[in-house]
Formats: sequence, C-alpha cells, structure tokens
Amino acid sequence: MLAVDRVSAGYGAVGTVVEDVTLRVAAGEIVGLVGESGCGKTTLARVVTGLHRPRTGTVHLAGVDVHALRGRALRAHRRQIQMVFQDPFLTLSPRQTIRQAITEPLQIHRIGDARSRSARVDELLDLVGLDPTLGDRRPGQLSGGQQQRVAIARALALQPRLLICDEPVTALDVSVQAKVLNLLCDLRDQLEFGCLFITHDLAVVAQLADRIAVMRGGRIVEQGPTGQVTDQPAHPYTKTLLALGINDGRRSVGTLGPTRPTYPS
Amino acid sequence: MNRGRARTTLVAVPLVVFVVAGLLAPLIAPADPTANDLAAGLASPSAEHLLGTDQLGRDQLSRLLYGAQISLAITAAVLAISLTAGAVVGTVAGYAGGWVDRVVSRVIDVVVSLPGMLVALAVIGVRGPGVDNLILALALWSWAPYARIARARVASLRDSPHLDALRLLGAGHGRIVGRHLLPLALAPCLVYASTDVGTVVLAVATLSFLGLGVAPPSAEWGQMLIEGRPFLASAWWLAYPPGVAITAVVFASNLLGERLAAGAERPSIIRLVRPGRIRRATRPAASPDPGTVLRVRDLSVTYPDGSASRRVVAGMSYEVRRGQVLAFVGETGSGKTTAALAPFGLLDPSAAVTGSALLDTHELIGLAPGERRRINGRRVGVVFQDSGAFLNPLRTIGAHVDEAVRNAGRGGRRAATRRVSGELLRLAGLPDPVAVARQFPHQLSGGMRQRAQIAIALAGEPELLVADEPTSALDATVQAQLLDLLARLRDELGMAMIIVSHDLAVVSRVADTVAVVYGGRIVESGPATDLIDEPDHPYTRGLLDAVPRPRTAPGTRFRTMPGLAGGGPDDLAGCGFAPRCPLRQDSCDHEPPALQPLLPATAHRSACLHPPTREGSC
Repeated sequence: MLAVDRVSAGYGAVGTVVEDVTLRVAAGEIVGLVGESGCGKTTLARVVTGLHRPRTGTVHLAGVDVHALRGRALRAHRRQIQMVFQDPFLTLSPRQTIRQAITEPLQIHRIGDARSRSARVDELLDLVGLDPTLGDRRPGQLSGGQQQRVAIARALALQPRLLICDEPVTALDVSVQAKVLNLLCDLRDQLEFGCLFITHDLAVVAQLADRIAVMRGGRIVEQGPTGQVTDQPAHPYTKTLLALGINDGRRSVGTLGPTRPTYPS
Repeated sequence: MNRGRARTTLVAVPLVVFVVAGLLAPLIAPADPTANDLAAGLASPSAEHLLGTDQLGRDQLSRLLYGAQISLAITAAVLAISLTAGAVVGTVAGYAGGWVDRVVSRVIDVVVSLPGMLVALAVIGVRGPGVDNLILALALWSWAPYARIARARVASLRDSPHLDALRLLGAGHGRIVGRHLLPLALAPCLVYASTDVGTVVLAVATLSFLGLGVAPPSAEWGQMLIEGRPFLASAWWLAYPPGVAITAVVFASNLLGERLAAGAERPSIIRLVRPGRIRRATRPAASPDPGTVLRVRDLSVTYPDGSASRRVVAGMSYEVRRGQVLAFVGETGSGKTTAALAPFGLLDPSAAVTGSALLDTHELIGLAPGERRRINGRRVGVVFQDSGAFLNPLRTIGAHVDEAVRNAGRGGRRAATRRVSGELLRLAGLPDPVAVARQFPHQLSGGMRQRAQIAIALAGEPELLVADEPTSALDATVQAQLLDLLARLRDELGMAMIIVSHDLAVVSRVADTVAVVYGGRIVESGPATDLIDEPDHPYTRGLLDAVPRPRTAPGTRFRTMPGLAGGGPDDLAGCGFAPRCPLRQDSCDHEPPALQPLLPATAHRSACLHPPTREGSC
C-alpha cells in the first residue's frame, strides 16, 4: 500500500540525511523503523507524509505518487496519511478543548454537519478509551497518556490508510507506554490501517511490529520479519541494539560504548 | 501562589480605577468639566469642589475624571491598532519565513530603533494636532514591538510538529494562522500591552503638555499639567492631582506587566538557588555505620495546597552506601524525585521537609543556605534530566566546568583550574576535552551534554551523586553508555549514587539497590537482582510486566495495570495501590501496609498485606 522507492532527502546546508531508502508497508501491517536520533528516521517520515520533498526517489500511497500532487489534490490526498508525534502536548493547541481538536479535521474536510461530527467525536473518544466527559477539557488538564490518546483520535478522525507514529511513547511512563501500545495494536486490528512505527527502542517494536527496518546514518541497514531480525540479526548495529534490552530481568552491565573513563592521577 | 495572585490584583488597582473613572466620568463627575465660573476661580479644595477649581473656576475633580476618559479612549485606540497590526504582521512574517520574514524583520528593527516621540512630533507636525492625528502618530511607532514579539513566538513554532500535524489534517494557511498561531502570539502581546498602557498614557500627556495633543478646553491630564504650571506655588491643587494620576497609572501598568510576564514563565533554576523552608529534625538519629554515606529516616515533604497542605512524600527511610547505587523507580507524580532531592534543599521554596538525613554525621534537614553551599556542589553532586535547561546557552562547556571547580574551592590559577576541568571532562567520558570545553551547549548532542553535566557534578569530588532521570530523553544506545559511565564512576571512584527513573529496566543496568515508589511511599525495596527476579509487590510486578520482552510473537499485547497513577500518601486509609491492585482484598482498604522484610534478616522488603508469593505458601 505504501511504497517508498530509493528515496534520498536532505536539507540545504545539512546535506543528505536519508539515502537510498526503499520500504513497503502493507494494509493492516505494523512496520517498525528503528534508529537513533539523527539517523534520518523523522526526515523519512516527513518525506512519506509529503511534508518534505525528496531529492530523488518516489513515494506512492495506494498507487498515487504523493509528491506529484499539488494544492487541493494534495490536501485531499493527505487525509490518507496521518501522523502521531512524540510529544502530544506540542501537537495539540493549548487553547482548544479536546472536542474542538478532534472536530477540526472533520471541519477542514467538510465532513458531516455539527450533529454528526459531535457523534463522530464521541465515537473516536470511545475508540481510544477516553471518557467523553474529558472532551471539554484542554490538553494541559490531561495526563501524558491521555494527551497521546487524543492525538491518536484526531489522527484517526479522517480514517487514514497509513498512520505514522514517531516515537509516540518515548515521553510516557513505562506503565502508560504499554497501554498506548496495546491501544495501537487493537486499533490496527479493528481498522486495518498500515502503520509505520518509528522508535529508538528495538525492544518496543520487537513485540509490536510485523516487520522491522533498522536505520543508521540515513540508510536502512537491515530489514525483515520481526522474528528474523531479532533472532538472527545480520548487521552488527542490530546486534548492539538487541543487547540493550532488559534480558528477561537479568542485570547486564555490558561493555558498550567507545569511551572508558580513567581515574585521574 | 495565592499571595502572588493577591499582589498582582493589588498592583492592578490603579489601572482598574483609571478604566472605571474613564468609563463612568459623565455619571460620577460632580460638574461639567468645561463650565466656567470666573467668580469661583482658583478656589482651594472644599466640600463643594473636592479638588478645588482652576483659574477659570472649572471643577478640578470633574476635569480629572474626564481627563481619564480621554486618556483611556486614546490609549485603548492606540493599543487596539498597534496590537492588532503588530500581531498580524509578526505572525504572518514568522509563519511565512524566507524573504518575507527578512524584510518584515528589518522594518521592525528600523521602527523599534526610531525615537518614538520624534516620529510622533513629525507626524503631528505634518498633519496638525488633534485626537485622530495623535492616535495615528502613536500607533505608527508602537506596533513594532508587538510584531517582534508575535514573530518570535510564531517563528519558534514554524518547524514544529504542531504545524506538521495541522498540515497533515489538511488545514490551509488561513486556518493555521488565524485559528492556531494568532491566538498563541496574542498571549505574550497582551502581557506586553499591559506595560504599554503606561507608555501610551505618558506619551499622550507629554504631547498634550507640549500643546500638540488634545486641544483645550478639553480636560486632558497633560493639558491640565501645563495649565496648572504657572500656579504651582500658589494653587498646588491644579498640577498635583493630574501628576499623581499619570504617575500612578504608569507605575501600575509597568508593575502589572512585569508580574504577568513573571507569572507566564517562572524559571526552574530557582530550585537551585533558594533552599526549601525546612523544619529541624525532632531528634537526631543514632550514629550511622561507617559505610553509609547518606542515611534518611522518616522523610516527609508537604506542599501548601490552597489553604490546606498536601503531603507528597510520607515517612520514607533509605540509605546509600559507599560504592553503591540506589535507584528510585516510580511513575510521574509518585514522589520519587521529591524524595531524592529533599535532603539537599533542592525543592520549591514552599516545600516543608521533616525527618532526618545524615550525610556521614552531618544533619542536612534544617541547614541554613550558607551551610548548604558547603555541602551541595562539594560533597554532593546533582545531575538533572534536562541538560539543555541546566546549561547556560551563552557560555562554553569549559566555562561551566571551570566555574564549578572554583565553586568547589579546587580552583587556583587559571591554568590549574583548566587542567582540573579537562580531567573532569575526560572522566565523564568526553574523548576530546579541549575541543569540548570550547563548544557551546547547543553544539553538543544530548548524550554529550549529559556527560558535561556529570563533569560539573564531579567538580567537588563528591561522596554522593544524585541523578534525576539522567537518561530519560536519550536514545537507547546513549542511555546504555551513560549508565555504564555511572557504573564505572561508582566502581572506580567508590562514589555513592542515587538514580531516579521511571524505567525499571533501565536502572536495572546499574542499580545495586532499588526502591519502588508509589503514591509517596516506598512499596518495595531490596537488592536489584532479587527485586527484579522475584518481585513481591503487585505494583512492582505490574511495572516489570509493562516492559517489552524479546522473543514474543508480534502483536502480543503488553500486560498493563488498570487505572491511573496518582494520589498522595494520605488520600486513602489503607494501601495506596489498592484501587489498581488485581489482588485487592477488603483489609487492603483499611489497613496501611508496613514495609517489612520478606524473610527475617533479608534486605528485600515489601509493603503488601497479601503478596501473591507469600499467600500461596501459607
């Protein structure tokens, strides 16, 4: 459904950040994109959504070249790709109530009338497990996990085919993380959207994703079904990432890291 | 907070009086401000004329009230025009970026740098005096600061996920600017406007005083001043009241603006410089055993909450030994950071701390600020989560470390200080200390900034290092490297450490002892291996279950705990975790569980009445 072919992208002064990336996401599939900050994964997400233009290569969603579209057609097409960001508080307007925030995409695309929109907002709040009475609050009055649920509800309001999640749980407590991840799993099963899940934490996508792509220095260094990547990692970087997990509860002070402090004499 | 709000209200009083007087002048003024009564000229204040009369016999109080009306009308008009124009121009420029932004910014720079009064004089010189020209003249130069403020606010959001999210939802430029950016830009503009009230009132009075503003016989404060000037010695009541009125409004507006701006952004650094309000320990603790660096007994922290008070940490006891890492683990709001920072006076000034905290044999609770300075930074080093906020963006890393070395009393000649700084940076695992010392915080990655913070914390050769979420905002690989660094510092320098984290998996890498905090109390503590391999408390089990595990089938759900974290130690009569606990029994609601050893003479302790492991064996 999503086909990214040989995409390279960058910014004027910084140079190339994403190099020759090829990636597929099928409907109903979660693909984990793993890499550390600065490896180009967020830039790749912006290219996929059409917010950033690639230097070379193409992005097709459901057969349509995302970057060949302009103006109204582009905006109409964007309904199909939505994104959930790391910090929900930064993506929600502090002055809007939750209800207003979720209604806004429906207004923009002139979907339904006031009554049907209101019913749809109730439905969406219910879908992400939020009490409808929270609808009149503002983002600042919600917990981090609740804010992220609102951001997910807003992204799903337009029934996208592809949901891009950029580190959606990194800012949350571990116990809240698990709930939001379960929610994403449930929603994917229910609504069958494709999902590109971006994270620096291989352990999270190892349990969540159907396939994993490991990115480093702007390139995808390893890509495959989750079991294959976690059980038989081919690239040394993937092996390093795998060594960072909790290891089934055993303590592990590894010998990672290029630097070794020495006591000053 | 309440006292602050009361003060803000107090400061606003003259402005409210000014606005009310202006609006109600026709109703409350005792006489017509322009009605001459030459027979009653220059009468001193009396019951009939509360503020006396001027040389033409006009009632001064009425003129003062009508003067407020004119000043208010002109000020409102000028502010409305300049705020609207400035906010719109600034928002559009900040949003558009590129050449539009550059051109608009230069224009703003030029207008801001022009002397406002000269611009006003020039405009009035060309167009002649009068109220509308006065408004035009003032608005022409007062819009620029609003544009600059709005532009800065919006430009900082230009590449933020906020706008990306809106674009993806299909929002056009008009909606993004009008619905989302303009309201955000207006907030700081309104704060500035409260200061600007004084400036405009003063400018109107000045221009009228010069005869270029409101023409006589209209009552205007500046106009009243100039008319009263010849009579300063004989009839003080002519010039003083308008003078006092102008001064009061200008002062009140400046103070109000300052207070509103301060309320909008209160720097967190305040925690570092001001010690908490601390009560002395009631009785000194017994002599500690020699390996213990910090021994905390019965620590409670209470914050004022409106008229009541709220405990956030209740009766916590813990200790850290030389060469050992104690990790506090818990969810946001559990009180873990408060418990770790309270002994060192690093909490908000309103916090009341009780209990005892012995650093070797020194009692830390109740120390005076001067005594604290000999402990913090020397015997105790602190590392905060957000290195970006901790480091001054305008100073190099070297300057930060040099300062810490001097504060710790280890400086000397400049070269000696530099040498120590270099060693500290190397100790913190920064490979090229000379190059790093010359760099500014923004030139370093998050992990390197955190290493710089660790170098600063090590400057006093502390016995104890306290790290509050030291790796939370960082990549998994960088997290692991930093934790390994902390582990080596512990081993090689024999330092004691307290690490605060929400992630049990992360701290399991370095911690010797783990204390799990829930609702302001320690619910389980013990050696890290025991606690992770055989967790006892249902909450600890829940935390461990939430951690993703390798080799599970894709799409396997994470195990979660029901309900939300929250609540203080005094909210419930029984166990704080009972409402979320899968194993809750009736007694849990009434009986607070005590932290007890699992077996006699073990360090692994848990506060649970019906723990799953022990229930089965009974």
